[in-house]
Amino acid sequence: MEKIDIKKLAREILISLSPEEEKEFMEEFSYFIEQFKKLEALPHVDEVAPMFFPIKEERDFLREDEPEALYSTKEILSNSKNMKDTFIVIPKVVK
Amino acid sequence: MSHLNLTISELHALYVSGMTTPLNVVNEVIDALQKDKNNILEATMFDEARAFAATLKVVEEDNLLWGIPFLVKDNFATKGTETNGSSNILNGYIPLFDAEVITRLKALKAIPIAKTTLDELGMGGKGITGHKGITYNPYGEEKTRIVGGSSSGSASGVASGYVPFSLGSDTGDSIRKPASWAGIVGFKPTWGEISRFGLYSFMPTLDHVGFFTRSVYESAYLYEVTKGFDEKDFTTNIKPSPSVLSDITTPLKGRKIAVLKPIMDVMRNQNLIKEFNSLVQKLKDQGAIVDFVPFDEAILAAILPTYFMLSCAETITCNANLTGINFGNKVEGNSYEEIVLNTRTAGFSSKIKYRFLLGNFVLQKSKRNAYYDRAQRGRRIIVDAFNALFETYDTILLPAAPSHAPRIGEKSEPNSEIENNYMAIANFGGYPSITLPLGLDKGLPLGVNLTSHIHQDGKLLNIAYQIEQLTNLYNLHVGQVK
Amino acid sequence: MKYEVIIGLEIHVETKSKTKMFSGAPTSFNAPPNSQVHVIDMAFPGTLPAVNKKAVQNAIMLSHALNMTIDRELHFDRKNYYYSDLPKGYQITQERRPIGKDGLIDIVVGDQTKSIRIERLHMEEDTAKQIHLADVTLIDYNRAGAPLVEIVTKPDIRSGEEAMAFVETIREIVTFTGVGDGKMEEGSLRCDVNISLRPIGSEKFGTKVEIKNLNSISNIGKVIDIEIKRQTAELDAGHAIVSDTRRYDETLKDTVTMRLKDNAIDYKYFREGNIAPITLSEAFIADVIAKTPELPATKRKRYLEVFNLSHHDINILLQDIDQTNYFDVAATLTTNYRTLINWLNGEVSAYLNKEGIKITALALRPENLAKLVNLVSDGKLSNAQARELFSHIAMTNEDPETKAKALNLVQVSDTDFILKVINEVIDENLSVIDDIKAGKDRAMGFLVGQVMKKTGGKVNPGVANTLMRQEIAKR
Repeated sequence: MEKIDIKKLAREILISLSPEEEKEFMEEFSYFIEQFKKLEALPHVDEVAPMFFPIKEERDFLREDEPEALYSTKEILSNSKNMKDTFIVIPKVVK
Repeated sequence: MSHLNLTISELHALYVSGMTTPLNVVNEVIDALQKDKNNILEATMFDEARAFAATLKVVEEDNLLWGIPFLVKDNFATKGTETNGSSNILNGYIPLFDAEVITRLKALKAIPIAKTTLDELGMGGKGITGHKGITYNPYGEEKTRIVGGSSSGSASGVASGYVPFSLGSDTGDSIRKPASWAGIVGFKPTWGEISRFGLYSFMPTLDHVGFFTRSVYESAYLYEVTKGFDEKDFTTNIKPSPSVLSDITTPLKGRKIAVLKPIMDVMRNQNLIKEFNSLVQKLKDQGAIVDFVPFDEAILAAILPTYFMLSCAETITCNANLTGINFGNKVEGNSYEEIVLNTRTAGFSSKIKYRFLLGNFVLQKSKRNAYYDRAQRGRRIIVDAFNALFETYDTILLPAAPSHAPRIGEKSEPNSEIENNYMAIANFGGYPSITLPLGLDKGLPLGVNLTSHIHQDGKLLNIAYQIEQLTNLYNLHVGQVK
Repeated sequence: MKYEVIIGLEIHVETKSKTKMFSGAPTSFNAPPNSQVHVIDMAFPGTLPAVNKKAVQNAIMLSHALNMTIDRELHFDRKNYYYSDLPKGYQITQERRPIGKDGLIDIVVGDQTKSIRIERLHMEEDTAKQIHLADVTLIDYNRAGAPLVEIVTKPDIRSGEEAMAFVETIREIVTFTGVGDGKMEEGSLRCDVNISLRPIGSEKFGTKVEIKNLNSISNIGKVIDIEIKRQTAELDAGHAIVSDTRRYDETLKDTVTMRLKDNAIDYKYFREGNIAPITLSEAFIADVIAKTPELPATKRKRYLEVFNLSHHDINILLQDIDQTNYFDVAATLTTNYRTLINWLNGEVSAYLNKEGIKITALALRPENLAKLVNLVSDGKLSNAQARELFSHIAMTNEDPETKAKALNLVQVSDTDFILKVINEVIDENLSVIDDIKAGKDRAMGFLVGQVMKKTGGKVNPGVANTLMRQEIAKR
């Protein structure tokens, strides 16, 4: 049975789970680990090249280096609850 | 006269003959939406729709979409209207821009009228995980059945006949499964044909923009007028694809159709089997060649786990921008990390967190070769197998779901992963794929699905169109059935 | 010393283009906060990256200048981590397929030339800027998404001096190709150092320490020396080196830990699915290469072999690309390259420093400086006269010959006249002549000086010296 450090994995992506959620997750986890084993039955599954993109088209398009019209400072910050004047403000970040 | 339950073409005809106006229709649609009981709506755009409709005075006879109202799955950005992906983490978020497909539809004078519910952030197949709760299927007894997901509200709304079409997105089968349970047409074109700019990412190389309609021709039409290269989406195909409308009525004679025997063999719904076989016979009668072909069952069994490993891993980064810092439903904290942790913990539902955890697990350095990386190799094996099949066959034909829409809370049959999830192959391979009504099972819709090789959208739509001619289930909607 | 020093460098270069790496927001300097922010830079849901052609061209140009193999396809990856200056929660970079690979560049330390191998060059995007105040941090997204190029060397560098020479070479190439400003003090060139020690003769690499936030080339050398001392002391005392990330502390005059090495963070790189692979055609690449301005190495070779200039003078000139360009123009109109470079590195630079201006603000055109140099070399002006002439025409750009005549700055070459003055001076200083004949040569300077005084500096001192000796010998 695969071991999983839920708290560490959750911390890495900045979420946290309640004890009930951790319990429920473990059930899903067990189920999926079993499912994942099914890939072992695929022929040459660890030898073939991975597939990243479903379509292979030879393309050469690149964006021209010309400035585009932008939204104003007020508009671009309008969806943030941390906006103050012309900045996003958060508690001091300690490096 | 009611202007609901009409197809795009039927509504267009009324406009052309001067029998009604867009504003009239919009008002009627708004009325109906406000009375909807199936929990299909997120933010509405009623004022904007009325204002836009009021400006449409001169009918564009050659433009089928002129004045046609439509619903928009709430993971497409709409300028000035809240778009929260049915997730609390984006409550109150108002995009500054429209998704490209919406820009193109509005340019054709189609009228977006409301945002619809979805499984949270596009993740889910039942239509029950959005932050507003369950979205109901209008079929069956009131509020007893699910409509599927993740494009739940868009499917339900079109099945109810409020609007002739709606926008959906499909990452694993999120248009094509609900289309089956809602008895409508759900179409997902070849990957890269319709711009994804403005569609909230779930997993980029599986994500597709698509449509719900109540006729095959209209899905083809919508595709025809919205497809094409977009500079803002560096995955849109540069080479223009051919028209799909010009040959849509080509007869079926000589078409080669494959049915995957292992999947048919596990079907249990007798009505479904009967309807499907009846269709197969009709296709043969029309001169199509229909073969029940064997297929590597190990590959079929690998579809769901491959899908889950890849999509859970990539969805983490696609949603790593949801922190509450520069937008979103922030929850307070004493430090950057605390704000983000609190915001994400409160804003994401448990289900989403589980997907993220699973994804983070398969991406770990010590694990990824056996999991995430293996799933990418698995994707290649699966796609290669289907590509081989497409060398001989024009399309793959199968039931879109093993049965009609389940009741709420109904548990899945054990070991039913294959027949419930196989449509993800169209996302792995970027194949065009369409679901359309097959028949009714005690008043509940059954759907059939077709999938063809990439860039064969025209051929796919043609075969689907001919099937629609055979089933006669054109413009199927709940009002017709109940 | 019993340890071998192994150094590898990671250099980040801000490349110059009108817009950002993946969005069409402008990259202007010093804009008001959050005024150059595209919806893509804010990572709003549904936004997608759009690759900047100029940024790609800059990367190709730089890769070529570093003799790298250029990948014919562009692939991008996501580098995942959470930080307040990273809106997407990942940075788009090129982990698997850097655009440039396996490069080689020569550096010169003292009189030794050494080749340094370059492992990779890839494109990535910059983070937002953070301003840390007492209790809060302000975030400005103007910089978020700005184009960067990262250059990683193989661990071929063996000392602080070599490191400085390498960074200077990169800086030169960056500025000469026009790809970037290359100013460490402004942050448009950033350097991280990876350094480890191993006993001489050992094959195995020691534990690597990373040093960040170096803000000048001279600091690179200084800090490396300090770190070598620190690691040597640790190893001598039998302690293991801790793999961490350090920075230089001015007050302590030592390196201090910032955080444990980033190896601890798993970035979980995977392919950027929103950018399908892009083909770079031979024609596209050839076009960029053809448009590359002359590289410093090429200039250096030309200055050494064709112009016969010294390394020392060349190094000084190449530190300023504008002065180099000025020199190149002037060098088409004079063959007195030594004199020309001395003028630029000497008198002209001094003038610019005094006035607090750059050579781009100098009114005197290279054509006219060339003329002035020619006047000196042809003996028509003494150095003193030339200096005076320059001070007049530096900001007026008047024709040197015309102005010299107007100012009556003409060097006297008339031998009869000079001999007359020389003999006058000798007659007035007969005792000095005896000293010179007795071998006290130092007095020559005094005598020539007297000639200069009598002629108002208009005589070529070299000529005066020669003729002076000649006349003294006759007495």
